[in-house]
Amino acid sequence: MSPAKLVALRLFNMTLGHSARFNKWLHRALVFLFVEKAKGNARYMASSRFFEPGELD
Amino acid sequence: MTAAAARFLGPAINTTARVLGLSDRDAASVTYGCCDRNYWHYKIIDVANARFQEAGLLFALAYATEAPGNPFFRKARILEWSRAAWRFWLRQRNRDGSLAEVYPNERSFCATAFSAAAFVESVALLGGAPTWTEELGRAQTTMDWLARNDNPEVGNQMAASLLALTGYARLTGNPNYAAAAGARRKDVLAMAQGDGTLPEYGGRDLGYQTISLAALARVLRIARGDAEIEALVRKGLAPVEAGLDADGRADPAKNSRGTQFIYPSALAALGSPALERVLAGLAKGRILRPVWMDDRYCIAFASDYWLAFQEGSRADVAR
Repeated sequence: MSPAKLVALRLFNMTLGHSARFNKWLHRALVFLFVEKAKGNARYMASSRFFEPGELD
Repeated sequence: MTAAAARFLGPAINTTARVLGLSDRDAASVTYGCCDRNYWHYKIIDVANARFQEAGLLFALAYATEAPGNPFFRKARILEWSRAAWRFWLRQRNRDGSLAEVYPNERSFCATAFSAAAFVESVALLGGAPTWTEELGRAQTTMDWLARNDNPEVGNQMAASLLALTGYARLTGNPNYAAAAGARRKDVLAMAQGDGTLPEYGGRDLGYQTISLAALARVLRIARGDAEIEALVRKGLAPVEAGLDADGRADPAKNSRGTQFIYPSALAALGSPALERVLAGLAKGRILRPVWMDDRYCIAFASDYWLAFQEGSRADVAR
């Protein structure tokens, strides 16, 4: 994240970010935009993969 | 002391498997080779910490060390992952060749010195200049930056930068870097106190002293016959030998940085009698071992365990 984006994020945290209702709406909107709408495309998937010895062969 | 040296092997192997889990091993990924899981996987930080790329040396040591029960020995995949780690390291550098640990455009002497030293050690282990020509050429700006910058307050970082410059000069045969290494060698010798300790933020710290000595012992392997560096390492071992208890521990309260760990490879390389105490503490589970450290510290510490195993095995053969 660039310094400008970080400052913008912190400003958001200190203003609109205080509202639980707005946060919930924003969360839904972002999930729709980047997860549901992105179905079929390469999308980020949280995983818990580490190293297994079988990968060496 | 094969059986004794083998005590370093288990912790080294276990930590290598852990660090592989921290690394992006997907060749199709844009962050392939990044070893900072908080950056490439969890995406909770904006700058990958360059010190994690020292995993490239950890993988190289695991690949190159023939030892009973080493599952990584001569496995092609771990060789690929080592090279991938170093290619990511080359890509993540600032334009002037320096590297960051925490924030964008940071020019960390510590991260640059230690990661560059680990890079040249990896190249030397994995075939040298003929197979790493492109990477060695690209690393030149980092060596130039190290030659121009220093941190005279911190002995272990200066020792690491000496290792990087000495190794790079040897690999490339470039006299400019031999001259830079010579100048840094003088700086390091001038920093040493009367009892052989290298200062750590104005005081003595036996844990970091063993990191400095580990780097200088590697310099000795490259520049054999350097009597002054050998004398410094031998002298610098004396306070470590005097300060370790029967279980190989140094009192953290007496260390300028409160350090709890001891890097064993210089003790093994120089045949220090204190190594037996470290091994005793390891067998009893009384000293810090690499896998107990956090993600950042476990990498270099585990590499030192591989090196201690190699040095201990060499001592056996010599005997």
